Amino acid sequence: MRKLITLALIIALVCSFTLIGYAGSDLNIDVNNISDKIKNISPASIEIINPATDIIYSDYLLISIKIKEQKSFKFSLYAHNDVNGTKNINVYPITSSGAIKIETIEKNDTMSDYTYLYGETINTTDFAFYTLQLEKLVPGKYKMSIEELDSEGKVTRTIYKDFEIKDKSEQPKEVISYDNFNEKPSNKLQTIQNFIKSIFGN
Amino acid sequence: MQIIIRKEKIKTISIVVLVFTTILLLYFLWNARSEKKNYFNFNITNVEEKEEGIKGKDFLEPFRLRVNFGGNKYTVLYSGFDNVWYSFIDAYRSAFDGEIFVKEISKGNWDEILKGRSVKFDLGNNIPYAAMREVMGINNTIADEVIGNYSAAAYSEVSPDSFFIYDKKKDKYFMIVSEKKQNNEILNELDELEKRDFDIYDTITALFGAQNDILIPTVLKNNIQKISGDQEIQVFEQEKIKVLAERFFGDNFDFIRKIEETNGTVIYMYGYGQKMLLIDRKGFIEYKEVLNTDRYTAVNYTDALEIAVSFVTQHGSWKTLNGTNIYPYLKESVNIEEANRKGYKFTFGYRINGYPVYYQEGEAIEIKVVGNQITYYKRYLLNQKDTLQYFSNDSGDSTRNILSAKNILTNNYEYIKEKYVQENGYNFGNNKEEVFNRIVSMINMVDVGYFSLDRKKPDEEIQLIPAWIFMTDKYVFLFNAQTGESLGSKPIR
Repeated sequence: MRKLITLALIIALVCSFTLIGYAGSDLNIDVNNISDKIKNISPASIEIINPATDIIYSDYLLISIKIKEQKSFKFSLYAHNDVNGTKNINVYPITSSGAIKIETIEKNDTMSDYTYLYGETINTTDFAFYTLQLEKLVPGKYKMSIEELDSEGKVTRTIYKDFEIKDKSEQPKEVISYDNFNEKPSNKLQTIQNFIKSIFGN
Repeated sequence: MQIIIRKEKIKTISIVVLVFTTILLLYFLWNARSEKKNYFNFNITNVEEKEEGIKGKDFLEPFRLRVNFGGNKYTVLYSGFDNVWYSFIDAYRSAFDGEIFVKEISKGNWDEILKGRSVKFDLGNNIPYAAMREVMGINNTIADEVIGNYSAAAYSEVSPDSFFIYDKKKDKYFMIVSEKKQNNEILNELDELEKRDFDIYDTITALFGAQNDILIPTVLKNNIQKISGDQEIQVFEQEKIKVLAERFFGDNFDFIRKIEETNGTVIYMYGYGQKMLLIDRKGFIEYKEVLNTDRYTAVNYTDALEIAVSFVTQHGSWKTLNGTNIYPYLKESVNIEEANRKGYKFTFGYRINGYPVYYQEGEAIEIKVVGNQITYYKRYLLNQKDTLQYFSNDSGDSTRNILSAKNILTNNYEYIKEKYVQENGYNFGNNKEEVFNRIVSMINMVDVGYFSLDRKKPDEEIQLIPAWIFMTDKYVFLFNAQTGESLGSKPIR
């Protein structure tokens, strides 16, 4: 009899854990995503909004940088020396009332493995977005740098962001199966809660 | 004795836990199975070929296409996507060759499929699913009750054997899954589109970091210019007004009273106001007819739309009265009731140079159909007159680029915030960044078009100003795209 009760308890516990796991799977906590975000959070006043990932499967990229206090900075974009065909890349800086271009940087050869592509010096208000569109990007490794400047134009801090452009065809194909579409209420945990509520009331 | 009681308690608890677990498992099992009850088969008929002239069903087409090319590259098109739409219809129709399942899905699922390589077609608000089904040549009616309205349709690479439909009225999302493997042309059509020249759009998330997948055109390649407009009819154009009035009153025209008010408004009236036509100084044409309940016969949505479209064709046409094309589209359909009789109100918008025209008040064409009778019809259309050139003082440049939507938002989010604070009691706090993030997260549509500025004096020229339009759950906010100034807001009904 004792064995039977123990067995029943084990089954009950296993079922409960399965259910909790099933419900929790819908919380969508993506550890990789969190670490990505942490990597992108730059301290102080400048935050790189986009690219939000290190690999981009496209020939198009929006660069967006949030500035949270009045600043001057130099933005520079580089392609790794191995990247071919960078001359065809189109760079469209987006005119902004909050982030005003002071000058285009013609040359910036501070990195030996990288070829300088584009850059400009920017003055911003206390809340602004600096934005660039890049078209016809060729696959390869790229780097961008943001050099914060003091009132005398000296670099006080540099933020780097590396990213890799890959061909769209290389993007892993994600397919959502029929069973992974949640019926409303979408959250399975919510479904269980609702079910319990329906039995015991609120 | 105590041991026995404890054992009994343990047994009882175990049994309760087991029963409870079994119920839960059965619930999920039953829930998963029950989805498959919805399947049904269809016979396919071909969509009829379009006849000459504009017909009601011509409006049952999407007015906007959202494309995700993959790799965070997006665009939005308002025309030139017929091939994509027809390939969607073909695929959708052929999906019904085999068994299909209809399933309500979450908003999260809908957002997820649009993150993959996908298309989303936006249709006029509140088009019944049954009407769209008929236009697509699908006969089976079972999904009509499930889906209700066809506000948007989507197809995505991440679920290639499924089709997705959004019912805005019920705010519900559905997926239709076909057991027949899809081998369609939709994604190939996207490859063709990508070869064309188009404006690239970005998500609000990519641009600002706030969570919102709504698209913004970051740079517009074509510069939209301020233009001057001309009303389609003037109160002093007596012959033109008479010809128009004859169309409304037909054989009864000899029995019509004509009233000319001191402010210039011309009114034609039949009987004691059973039928009334009004043409005002601004160029509004308004027609009202008292419902004849004795002759009322209920009509369905498609027939009502056909009656409305045909009425407009005969009473002013789908061009301006001067003969200029207006590129109309169906904006909204609403169920109405008059004297306890059911009907529909249709609202149409139009485009100039490909851009939608917005008014301070009202819409371009509004028409009410009750039974098979038109009870209300209003139109206010503008002809494009001239392109108004800007002359910059310093460079002599004759044109002026419009500001980006991004700049409009960064400069005006406080204005949007104030509207919500003052009229809805919202509390956004004082942190600039948080306020901005909340405001941009609330936006559910961004558009660029012309805004018709009301004239301050009667002899002033009508100006059609390039405008950015931002829609939230409660308001439509309009901003002058050249200066960034607010052009006001309209509450959403």
